[in-house]
Amino acid sequence: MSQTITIDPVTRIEGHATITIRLDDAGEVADARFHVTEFRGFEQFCIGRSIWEMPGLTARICGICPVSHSIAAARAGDAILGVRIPPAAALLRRLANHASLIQSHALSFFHLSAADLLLGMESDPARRNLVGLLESRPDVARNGIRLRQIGQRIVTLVAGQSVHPSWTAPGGVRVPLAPARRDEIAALLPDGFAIVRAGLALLDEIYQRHAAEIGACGDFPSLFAGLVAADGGLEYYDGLFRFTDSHGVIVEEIPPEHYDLVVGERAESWSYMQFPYFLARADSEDRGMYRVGPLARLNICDSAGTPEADRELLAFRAQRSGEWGAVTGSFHYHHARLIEILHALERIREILDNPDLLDHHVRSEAGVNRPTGVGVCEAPRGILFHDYEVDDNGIIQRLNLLIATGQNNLAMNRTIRQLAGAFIKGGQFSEGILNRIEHGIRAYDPCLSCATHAYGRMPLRLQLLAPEGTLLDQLARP
Amino acid sequence: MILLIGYGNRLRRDDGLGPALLDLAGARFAAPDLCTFELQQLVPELAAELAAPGVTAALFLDAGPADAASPPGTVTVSQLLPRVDGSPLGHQLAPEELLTVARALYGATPAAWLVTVAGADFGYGGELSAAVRSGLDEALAVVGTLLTTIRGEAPATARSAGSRPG
Repeated sequence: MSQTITIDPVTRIEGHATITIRLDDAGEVADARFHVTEFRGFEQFCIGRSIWEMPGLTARICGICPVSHSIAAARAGDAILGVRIPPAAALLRRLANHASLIQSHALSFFHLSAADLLLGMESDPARRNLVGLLESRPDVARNGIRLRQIGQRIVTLVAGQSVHPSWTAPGGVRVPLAPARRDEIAALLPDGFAIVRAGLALLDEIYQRHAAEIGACGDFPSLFAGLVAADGGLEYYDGLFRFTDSHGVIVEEIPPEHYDLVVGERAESWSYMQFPYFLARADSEDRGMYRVGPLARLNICDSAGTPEADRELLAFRAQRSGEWGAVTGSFHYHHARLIEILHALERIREILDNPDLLDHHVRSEAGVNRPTGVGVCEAPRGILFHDYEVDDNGIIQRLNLLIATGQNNLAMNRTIRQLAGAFIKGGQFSEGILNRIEHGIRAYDPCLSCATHAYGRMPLRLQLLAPEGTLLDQLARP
Repeated sequence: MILLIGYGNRLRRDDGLGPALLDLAGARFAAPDLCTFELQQLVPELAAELAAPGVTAALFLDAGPADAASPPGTVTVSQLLPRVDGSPLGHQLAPEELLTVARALYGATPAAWLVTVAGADFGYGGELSAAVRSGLDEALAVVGTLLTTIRGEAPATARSAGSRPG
């Protein structure tokens, strides 16, 4: 008799989702699906709004990465105005985007995943949380808070507020940076560097603890996609949209405004999140699956472009590469996030030394000169596209938001199938197995508020159902 | 130093009570020992602020749920103690959990109170409901009384359960 296991809701992610695992008659995993159960509809209700409102409106898609949305929206506006923004504005946008990445990655690594990584997937679920982390590893919890505080403070100093800043605008940004604020940012950096180095030093312990399961946590060949600089370097704001395969070979590289030539989006009836795919491989076995975000960025780039991050990137590739050549295991997203934090701190230090940074000219004034515009940037979870079509007055007639978490949807589904298949045998499962499968999703740090805000402070339910819906067994998490 | 923390979403009508009350209280009770924070939600890094040297007290200002016993506009004040429900650490925390984090990580927890006004409408919009607006004066008076008490200017009278309008 086939059975279905339901994990509802998935916890310690951003948003609401359910995992169902269907078992065959022998109790082996037949299928597993990650369902996003919330719908937000920004692509509909933003129609009729002005491009000048879009950075502020779309920033409210998310409380974690509002900076990235506001930057992508402003960049789409830049394209519609047909302007080149002042150098100081570009530097400030980059600065805020790096700081936003730091706070987001700090939360993901040090708080949302640290309980699994440092206390163990099978540890007492009643302690595998804030309480356990505070008691057993207060240093880690304290570092996570400090690093997030640094990222949020930098965003506040640059953009006026850390959540939902209304600071970017088509043509640039609204407010230049004062020298005192630059100096305060500089004073925050040493703490940031010390914390991320301490985080990297935790990796040996983490990899030893999880050696037996890393191979089942989303380790499969796939494409990887994201921005690279003109010289192939790690890039978060501008550049080219590059795809590489699991051997590290470049399979596509185009200006990002032409993203729709290479990426399609399909819908499934069982999830509100779309399934973007690489068009040229739509008919392949993996249906055009590609991954974005920290792991992808470190796979597609030729170099990090900063001294410490380049050293860490070399070590990352040497230590984590899989049988196909690239780093293909999704467990390594955690390691990649730490390298990206280090890189972001180095880039912020560079930006603070740039003489253009404090220039008062931060906005290019223009009217609507083009009917369409695509804005892109690398959000913490991956490449983010805002694609707008406007009328002569700059009123949105059509928009498409291609979100990082959505682009990982196929890979997240493949990851939970792989984990479920590896750990559920003969229809038997435990709370620890349930947590491993959830962690497979957490590795991607999905932001479902973006992809379709509420953090999952809810009981976790896993149900084993007979085909006719009879409850055969269940586990409940407090 | 006394921290005055108003939190909520100004674009979800009565959920903006905390920031709105913070605006009023910050203006009326402004003093060198008063530090205000406006937040959409309580986040982990606020624990470091709570545990900072010299912080003696924190007042959290928030919208509260209405029910049969506490109709919209009802002002409630409660003293807070560190508490954790075993919930995983995430993007937002309850004030009691923040106090726990502050104590566990930094070894300090200020005296803390939560002042709420029961909301009626948490839909889209920037205006507070009439019921919540009617509770603002009393909430402001409660904040004033607490500040006086904290500064030792009057006997401690903080209550552990609600006060009702009228």
